[in-house]
Amino acid sequence: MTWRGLVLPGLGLVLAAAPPGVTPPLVHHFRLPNGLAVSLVERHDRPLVRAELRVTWAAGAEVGPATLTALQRILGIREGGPYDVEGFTRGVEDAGARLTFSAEYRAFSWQMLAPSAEQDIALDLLAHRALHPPLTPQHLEQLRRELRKGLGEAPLANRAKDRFLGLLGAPSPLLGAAEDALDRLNLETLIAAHRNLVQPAQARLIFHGDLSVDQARQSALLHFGAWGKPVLPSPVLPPPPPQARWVVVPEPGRPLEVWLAFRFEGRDDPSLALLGAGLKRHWRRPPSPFLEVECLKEGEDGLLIFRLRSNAKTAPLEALQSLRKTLGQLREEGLPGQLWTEVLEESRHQRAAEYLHPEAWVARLAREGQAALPGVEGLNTQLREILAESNLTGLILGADAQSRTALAAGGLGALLWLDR
Amino acid sequence: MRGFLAAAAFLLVGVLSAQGTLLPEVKERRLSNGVRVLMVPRSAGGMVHGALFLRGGRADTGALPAAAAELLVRSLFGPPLPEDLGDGSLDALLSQEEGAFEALRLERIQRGRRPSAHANSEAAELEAILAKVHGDLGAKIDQAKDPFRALGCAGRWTRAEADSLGTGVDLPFSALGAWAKLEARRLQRLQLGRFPFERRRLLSEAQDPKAPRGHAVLLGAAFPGHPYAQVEDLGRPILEALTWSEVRAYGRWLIQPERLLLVLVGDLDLERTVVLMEEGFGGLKGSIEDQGRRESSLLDLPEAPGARRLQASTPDEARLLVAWRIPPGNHPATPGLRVLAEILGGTRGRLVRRLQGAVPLAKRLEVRLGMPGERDANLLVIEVEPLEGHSLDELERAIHGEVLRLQREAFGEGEIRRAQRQLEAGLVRGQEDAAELARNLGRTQAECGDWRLAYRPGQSRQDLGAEEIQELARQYLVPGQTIAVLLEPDPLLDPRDALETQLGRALGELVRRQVEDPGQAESIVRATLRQLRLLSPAEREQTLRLLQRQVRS
Repeated sequence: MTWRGLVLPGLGLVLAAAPPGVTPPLVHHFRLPNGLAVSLVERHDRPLVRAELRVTWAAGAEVGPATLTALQRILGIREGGPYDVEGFTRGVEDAGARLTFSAEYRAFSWQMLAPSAEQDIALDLLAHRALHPPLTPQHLEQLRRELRKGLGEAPLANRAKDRFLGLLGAPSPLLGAAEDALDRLNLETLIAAHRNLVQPAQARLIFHGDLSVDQARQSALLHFGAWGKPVLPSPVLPPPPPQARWVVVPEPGRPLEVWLAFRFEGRDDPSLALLGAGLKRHWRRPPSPFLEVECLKEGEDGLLIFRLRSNAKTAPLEALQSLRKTLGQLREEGLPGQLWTEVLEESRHQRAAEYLHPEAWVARLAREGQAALPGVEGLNTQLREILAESNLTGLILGADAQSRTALAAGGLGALLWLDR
Repeated sequence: MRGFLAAAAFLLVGVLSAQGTLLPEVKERRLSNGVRVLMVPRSAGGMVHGALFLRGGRADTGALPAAAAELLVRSLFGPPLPEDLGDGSLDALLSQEEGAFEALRLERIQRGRRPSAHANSEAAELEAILAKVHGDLGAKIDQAKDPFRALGCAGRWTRAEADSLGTGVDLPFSALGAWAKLEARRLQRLQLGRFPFERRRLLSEAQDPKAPRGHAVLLGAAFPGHPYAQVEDLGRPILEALTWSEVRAYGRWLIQPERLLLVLVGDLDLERTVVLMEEGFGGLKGSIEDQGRRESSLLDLPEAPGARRLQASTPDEARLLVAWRIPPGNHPATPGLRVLAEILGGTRGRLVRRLQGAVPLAKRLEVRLGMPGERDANLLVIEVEPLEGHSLDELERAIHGEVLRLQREAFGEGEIRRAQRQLEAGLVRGQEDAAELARNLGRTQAECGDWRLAYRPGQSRQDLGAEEIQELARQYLVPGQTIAVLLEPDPLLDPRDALETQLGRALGELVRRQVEDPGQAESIVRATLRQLRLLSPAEREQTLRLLQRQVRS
């Protein structure tokens, strides 16, 4: 397919979503022979180049939490390929660049910002760090020592919430791992995990700034062209069967606080943020019994998490009943079209604003690729799927004796009481 | 590969110096009423970042506390009510709220002075009035449609700095004219309809026990008698005593065309932009005479208060702040001081290697200038958090040692050049994001009088010499003028875990057997508990068992 053939359909989708007066800048997309998807936004009014490499992997890929935690920590070390810590730091400094690494649930990202004259050197450092991390016995031993220091009991105040997150069962690298699993970990497992998870076909490389399409292609080929296709695809396990669970922490006298976590596997789907914004808006609208509604996480751990706090005037039972009713209604009817229209419009404005903030824009391109925003119907279909009873885990803080009886009478699903 | 990198580094030196690209391409204009406009054109798909700054911030509130600036900026630049834009008036409602709130505050103070007194029926009536007014205002806020959102504005930020106030937003260029008119209308109207709610929000933030208090302690010690001393002071009594009328009067003084600066970055048609800004902000007029707030900034360093070392108990983590007073941001010494700070705290800076190198002592290190603002003499601050098992004293000694080395010993090969290049690279990188660029330009213009001063470290054609840097270190990082603030939870007032509580009890029992004076006994226990914090948990438990055995014997 020609360059033009690749560019125009993508542009059409974006144009349809742009607010009035805004012309989305052209985004060039191409693929390397090894399957790496590359995108470029050309900007020549500043002598800077930004790049982000993002690797994601499928749900259930066969890597345990200990391996993932260890791999994440090793990828965070500022070394790679021929560069030791000193050489790497000096290289970054001499290039006048900034290089960062971040880990999310089933995704690793490496970011770079450098003067355009130095982008090749900076990209070389980024590629070595991502593709040739220091997987050596010494590093593994040091890592074990460091991870053990970080293990231990969570602070008292967070214990209920940690227990709640633990119940969700998401093997997030951010949640850490058990100590004995770290002892069993060996170098071969880590090397295999890196090879299986960090694959070109599951990665996107985004460029933004002062380089042409040809320069971007040459740069991508030079630094990532030799990144091999994996011999075997990453094995994928079926996800655990879903089951609705509620954790109740009775605390009479305090306003009700409810945490809701919905499983959502398509964390890079552009609709995720929209679903979060739509539900937040819905639960805040009067006469909602909830004074504060926060959307805490959108997909980071494969979950959409909300925290709802009732006002002091509403009895916990009343607030819970209202929540139950509204969940039932949402499962049947979805959210009103007008609300989705507002959410979509706001999202378009936010996306247009990203043209002024390359870091956010590049991160979104790396996350979402060429996916377009869904329509109202599509959003309501996704909403019903997410809100399915079996997909939900809830934490209720502050339930009193009255609500205890009502909760025990049924209707919510499996209950776990954490009496103090 | 390393040879390649070294060659590239020298190339970079040439590239950055020769290009002179460090200065962003800024176009300057003045509106008919004196409002200054800075414009940076760049392609952004038809989007623009629009920011406005007011010269005078938390340190320019005159007789009012610094919190007035924070409350003004939050109430003024939040999503507006129709009345904020001149559609009707909330004066009566806000006056009623002010009266009821103030009367209740005084009633609470009186009740506090006479603990036997009970709340009277008048207080209940006032509570009811307040609840009704808040209900009415809350309903208005819930129903209000945000006209900025309707224009496509997103990503609003607001800041109340020591020397400037600012706000900014992303919007399509096609909405720039309407945005300018809306902003000008609320600046002129100064209704501050959200005031009661913003005060409530600020009060709840001020009550957060985890809110950092270290900077307030440091500024209080460093700037006695200067407004900079109070800029971090947002305590509950101060906030409660501030009224809507006072903040509004302060706003009227502050919002003058000659104090206002507009910074626009993005897809701009320059001539059209000037016309739109004139139509929007050109009609703003100054309203009242200056009320004697500070206007001039002293270029020389005022008399220093001498070396100080303060120890404060805070519930948050242990932290050490070491600071020296330095001249204002527009002083000729500032570029050299920035290089000096980079030599200490840059990626491979001396303090980084000493405190976070092979034998790490600190988990966080930051070296910065311009605290709390750059208009007057300010602070160069080194802020560190110790790693488990290391004391604040140990960190303080290490910092002191590095500063003395900087003043007395020779520099490493290329050390100064490397620091200068790092600063320059940071200045180039800081121009990528439109909002960050606008904030840097606006803040520097408002505080130092010229936005170009933000890019001074990169404008010099020559590297600074070792003698110049050492002279600056000797002149400003004077041991006799060091201000050190040591913050950590007091082992007796705020024990960090159950083990420390038990250790305190056992130690107290033993010390009281030997020392009669309870004050002296407490001081011994406190000092011992601080030392015990440097031990591992297992060692501390072992110590506890030993002490408990002694107590029983």
